[in-house]
Amino acid sequence: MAGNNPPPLPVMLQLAPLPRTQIGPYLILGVDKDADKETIESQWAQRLIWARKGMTRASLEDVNWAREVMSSTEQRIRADAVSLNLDTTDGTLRKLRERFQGKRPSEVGARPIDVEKWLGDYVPAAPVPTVEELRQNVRVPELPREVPAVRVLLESFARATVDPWQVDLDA
Amino acid sequence: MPDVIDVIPVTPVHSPDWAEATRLLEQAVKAGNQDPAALYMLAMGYKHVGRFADARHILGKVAEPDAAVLLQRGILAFNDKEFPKAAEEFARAWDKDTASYPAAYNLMLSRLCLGQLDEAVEMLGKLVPIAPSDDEKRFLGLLRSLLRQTNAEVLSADQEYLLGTMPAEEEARLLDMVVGLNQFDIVFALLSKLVAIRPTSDPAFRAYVGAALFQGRSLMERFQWEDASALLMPLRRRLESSPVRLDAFYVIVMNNLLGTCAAMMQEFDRALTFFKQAQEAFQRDFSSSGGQTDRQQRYVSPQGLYLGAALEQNVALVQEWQGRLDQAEQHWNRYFDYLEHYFPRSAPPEYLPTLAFEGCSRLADVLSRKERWTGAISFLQRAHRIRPADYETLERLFHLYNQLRRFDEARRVLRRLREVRPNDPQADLFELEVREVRKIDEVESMLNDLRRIMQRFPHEARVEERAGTLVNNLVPVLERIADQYAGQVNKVVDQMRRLPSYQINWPTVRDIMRDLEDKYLFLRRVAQKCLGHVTGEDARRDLNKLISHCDRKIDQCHSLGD
Repeated sequence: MAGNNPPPLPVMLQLAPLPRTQIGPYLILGVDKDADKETIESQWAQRLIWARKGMTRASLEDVNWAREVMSSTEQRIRADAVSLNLDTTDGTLRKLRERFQGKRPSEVGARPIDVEKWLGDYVPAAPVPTVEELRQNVRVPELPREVPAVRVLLESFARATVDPWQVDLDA
Repeated sequence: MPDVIDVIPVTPVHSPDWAEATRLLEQAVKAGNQDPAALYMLAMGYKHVGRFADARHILGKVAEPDAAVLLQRGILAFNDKEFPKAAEEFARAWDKDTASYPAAYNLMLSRLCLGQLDEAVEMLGKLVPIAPSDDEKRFLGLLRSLLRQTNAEVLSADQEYLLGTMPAEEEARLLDMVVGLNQFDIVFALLSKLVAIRPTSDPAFRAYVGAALFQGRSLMERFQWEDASALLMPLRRRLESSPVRLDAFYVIVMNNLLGTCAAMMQEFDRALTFFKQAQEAFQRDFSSSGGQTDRQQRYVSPQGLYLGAALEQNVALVQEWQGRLDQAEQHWNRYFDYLEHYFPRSAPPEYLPTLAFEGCSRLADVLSRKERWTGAISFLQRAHRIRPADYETLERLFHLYNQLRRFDEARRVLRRLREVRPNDPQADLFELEVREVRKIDEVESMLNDLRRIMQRFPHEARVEERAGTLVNNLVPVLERIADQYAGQVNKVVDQMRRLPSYQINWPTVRDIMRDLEDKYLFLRRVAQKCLGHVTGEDARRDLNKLISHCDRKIDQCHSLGD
């Protein structure tokens, strides 16, 4: 009856994943080798969300480790020495990302047409004086034409009537 | 008297001052002006100064929004990539003003971004009659043809001809629009169809490959190595057969991505093949590129990293992971050669030197662990060339030379160590290490020097530790000397046993035994001195055994020497 037995199922062997030091912090965070601090922080935050929601195979621990490595100059450069290079010297991948993710908006690309209503002739509901009314309301002081003007000003000051009861002697 | 208003200088306004306009409008609204036009203007002010959330909030306060307000609400939602909301607002705007081309166009665009191809095609039919120009109508027609082609509809000969012969400007606009749709499946399908219709178009093929590279990279960011590889592999084959010559950098990036995926899946041989093909693509491009200045601009990154170096690093890393250190060493050497060559272009200036230094130090460690001393020394020498005053590197170099018994070079490094840190006690101890110790008096002399150094630097933990190691290394020397003495004693005793008594030269035997007794006493004294410095338990046990052995032999020699 041995001939009726189903053939044994093949044993599936699965390779252990590479250690994180071999994958490197750049691949874990998805950043270029010359990424700035701001980019690293934003990528780290996104990877945390992905890791929590199970949207990436990278573990939370590895994501945090990668950020820690990237925040230390010494560790970062050591990681640089053992990390694979994906991009070219002119940043081909970076440019593609900017183009496809819309970080560099084009003039005619998939952008909505943005037309604003013309309100140049808008008149508010509140009453607004006309220019003529404004002109009439502005009183221009008479300026003395004599030079020096100080003498004229002092004379007009001296001509003014003085109320003896209003003089402040303490001052 | 001139009029005041006429003489006040007024600066002509060349560009709108949105910040000031926003400030004034805010005051007006705060003062109670709830006029929809005022709210709209304030929202536009916010939009122009980048305060999108405020703009959205103010537009939301308009009680009975007209088409213009709804259009702006839709635009803000679209820019935030909230396409369902954008489509809703644009649809309402279009309802209010059926002649509004922007509202209808934006609605079509939102539907495209939502992946609703049928609805977008339907909208395009309604858009054509209200399009503002013939050029716009033609463009809409092209887009409609492309979308219908993607929807597996059969195109008429005219439509296919139009798509196949459209001028470069229209193609650029179409590509720009398709690329910005934010939906990889749709973008890739549209580009794929466009490439099929225009097989010799460089921009179309470049956009198509670019979309795949971008998506491949996105998959890799989620560690989906298999998916990324499955996406890029067919494209790579298509690249080889395409009549369009793509920029070499696209080929290099594709091979780099595929190589990385293979390496992450631990298929190192495949990874190596891809990385080597990236190198070949680079070589071909390099040999066909222009002069030195062009090459420097094209192949050197803003940081000063040469593309050739980056590609060598990829190959070297994979070979190292495979354990093929011989081959990896060659590529690492080339990598460091390139780095050193471009040191003057490094930005920041310390970037490339530090990278090279750290890389060399690491490799020296790796090779030392594998006992590949020659390779380790060569990388340490390179690290030393980059940072001649680095004490740690000098120290490691010194130990390696010492281990390989290359004492002359070790002494030269020691001199440099003394120059770098003139008063470092370690250097004195290192000097003892390079001393060749074979005889018992050399051992004693070394112990005396050691004592002197320890007196000069009392309570120095590093000195004590180093001294302990040095003395530990002396124990085998003492054991060997003890073996030599024991051999001499045994030889005499053996002869005494074999010869009859009258044939034995007793005075000589006594002389030899007395001499050996003195030697054993000296050896015992030296061993006793060592016992005070030794650190390891094994070494201490060996020394105690040696002292006991000396005691027994002293007794034996003494009895035979009397």
